[in-house]
Amino acid sequence: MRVLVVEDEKRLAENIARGLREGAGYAVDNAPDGEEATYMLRATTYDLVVLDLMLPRRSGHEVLNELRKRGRKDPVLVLSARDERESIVSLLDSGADDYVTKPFDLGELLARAKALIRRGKGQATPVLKISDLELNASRRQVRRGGKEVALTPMEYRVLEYLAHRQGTVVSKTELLEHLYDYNWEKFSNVIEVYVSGLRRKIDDRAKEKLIHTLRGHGYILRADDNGKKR
Amino acid sequence: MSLHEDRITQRAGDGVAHALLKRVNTARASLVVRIAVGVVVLDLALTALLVALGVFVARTELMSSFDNSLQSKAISLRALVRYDEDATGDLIFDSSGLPSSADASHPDAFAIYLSNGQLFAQSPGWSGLPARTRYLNGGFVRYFASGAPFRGLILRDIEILDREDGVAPAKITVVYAASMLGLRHRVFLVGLYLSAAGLAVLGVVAWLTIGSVRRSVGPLRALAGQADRINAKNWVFEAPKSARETPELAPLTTALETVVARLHDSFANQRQFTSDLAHELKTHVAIIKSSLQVLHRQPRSAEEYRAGVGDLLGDCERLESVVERMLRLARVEQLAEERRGPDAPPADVLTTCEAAVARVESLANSKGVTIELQGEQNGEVSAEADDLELVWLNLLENAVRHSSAGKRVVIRLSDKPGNIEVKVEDSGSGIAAEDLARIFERFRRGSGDGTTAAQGFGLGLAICKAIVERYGGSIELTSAVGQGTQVRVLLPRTSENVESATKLPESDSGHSVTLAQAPAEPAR
Repeated sequence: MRVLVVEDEKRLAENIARGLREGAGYAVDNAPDGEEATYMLRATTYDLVVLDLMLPRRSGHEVLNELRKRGRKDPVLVLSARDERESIVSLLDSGADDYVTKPFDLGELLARAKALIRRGKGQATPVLKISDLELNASRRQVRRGGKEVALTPMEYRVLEYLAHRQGTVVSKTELLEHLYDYNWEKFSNVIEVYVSGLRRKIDDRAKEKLIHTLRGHGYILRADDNGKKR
Repeated sequence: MSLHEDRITQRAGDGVAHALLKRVNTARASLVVRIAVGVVVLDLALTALLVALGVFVARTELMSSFDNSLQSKAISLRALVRYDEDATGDLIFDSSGLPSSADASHPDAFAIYLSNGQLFAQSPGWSGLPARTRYLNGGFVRYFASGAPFRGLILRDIEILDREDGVAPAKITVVYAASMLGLRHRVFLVGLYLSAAGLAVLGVVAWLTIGSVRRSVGPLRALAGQADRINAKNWVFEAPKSARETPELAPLTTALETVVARLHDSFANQRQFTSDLAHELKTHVAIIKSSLQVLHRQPRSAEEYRAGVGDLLGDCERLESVVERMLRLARVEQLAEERRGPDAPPADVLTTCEAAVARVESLANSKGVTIELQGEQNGEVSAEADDLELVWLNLLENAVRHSSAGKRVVIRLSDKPGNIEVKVEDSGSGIAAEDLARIFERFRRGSGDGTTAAQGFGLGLAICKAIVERYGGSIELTSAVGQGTQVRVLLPRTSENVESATKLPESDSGHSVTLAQAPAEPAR
């Protein structure tokens, strides 16, 4: 999952980013002002945008309005220093999905972030099930047939993204975009390495294969009920 | 109506006003009641005067005709005294031709005396003039008889009309008196009618007065109604047209509008400040809290904890500095509102500059920026040295923050007529045009270059402006993106020479922001 943190206070942005990386394993980008945020949002689709309102050059309101005007559905979590009802109502009306007021609790921020991402992918609970594969996004645990599977952080991130998009084809480019932030160099063959690692840990010992490769298109995570080709 | 008269009427009307007040049920006499009472009392006085005058005139007229009739009646008596036909030379009195009395219950009284003093003829019951008769001019007398005032006329030694040959006409003295009750009654009626008419007029006048005063107070009420609607949430004040068009109310309307606008600005300013302040404090608390939570969420190595605590210390110092600057700004602005307060002792500008340079040196060194202090000129201004030092410190910090390594920041002192000029120049990143216009506002952040998060703005320049203006100086900022920023401060020099004082820059002229913007180019 890839998150954009729009916050001009450098230290606060650092802390939020660190919390999201360490606590949820997300890739995090930071935009220090409204214009930068708009620019980055035009270039990339994010799984979540954490948006401060009082920003230099362009207010958070404007960033949000522009995003929604372009029909983008990226979930937006607003960081607000005001808790006046009016401004919250107007925020939600202009397309924000949730908000926390400063000073917020980092744990709460993370929980809300996870919930928003989940909802954004159409999942109601943090536990995702594909056949006998169980992924608990809040604990970052994976079980196959009731047995816990130990994954590396990157493998988990790949599986979490695929699980959130289960039943749909996810291209390598999409995976790259959503698993890495700007600070990382992106090589598409890295994805292949992680996917093969996942296959080994999840599918190898099971009868039913869940991770499928559609050559030239990407990957899909789904129950192999009608025995389709891999 | 003169002021004096007004006061008298008002005082005279107080009693009546009191009675009216209870009915109007206002704590104090309302304008309507006061004016109405004033008019009524005045009108009452005029009516009383009119009635008195009318009665006087009527009485004089009636009196004159009464006297005439008295006179003619008295004279007619002399025709009634005749010589006897028997030619004895005796006089007889012919009572058949007596004039009739106007008042039947108090008939006229008369007496005729012969020249030898003998009572010749008299009305029934005549017993001479009473002892307490008043003798008036022209032979008139006044006395009371049988409970009624009488007025009489004495005609002395008049000749009778009848003639007898060879005999000198006999002379008689006639006393004729008539009751004045009728006259009094008529005078009383005149007074009564006049009073009734006066009171009727008075009622109409009072009614019209109250009506018209009420109507003319209408715009005032409308104005008050509008003014009443103003509160912290609603600052809309539209003076009613009626009030605006009433010449007497126009100054009040204008004054109200000005006051409301001024209060609104000041209130909005305060609210903005509080809101900005809350935002700033919450943000800094959020930083500290999230720093702690990041450290706390999972076990860390000693190294990570050490780094985290170091960061936290930095976070706390920044919060501390925000609070300190804020309090300083609040203090300076409060002092400015108190109009400079007691004059500050003279402070040496160069010394304060040196102190500020010394304080900013470590920051400059860490960024690889050199600071240069130029100008030997030494002069004093009336200002707290600490305040001045803070101005230079803020300006230098901003300059250093926006300069990259190897750049130079110059602070230059020079003499200007009546003023000391201090310029702080950098060749740093400059300030974007959109930020420049609002650069002196509190908590306004410049776009900065993203990495430094433009910490220097916020409160620094707002404090500088407040301090400089408090001491009667002016501050001006020029900047071009990519070329650098120049801040020019002018402070009036302390001098015994009064002439130079007239050249002081006006303290309320505010700052002027001049733009020397290079061709539009994003700040990043």
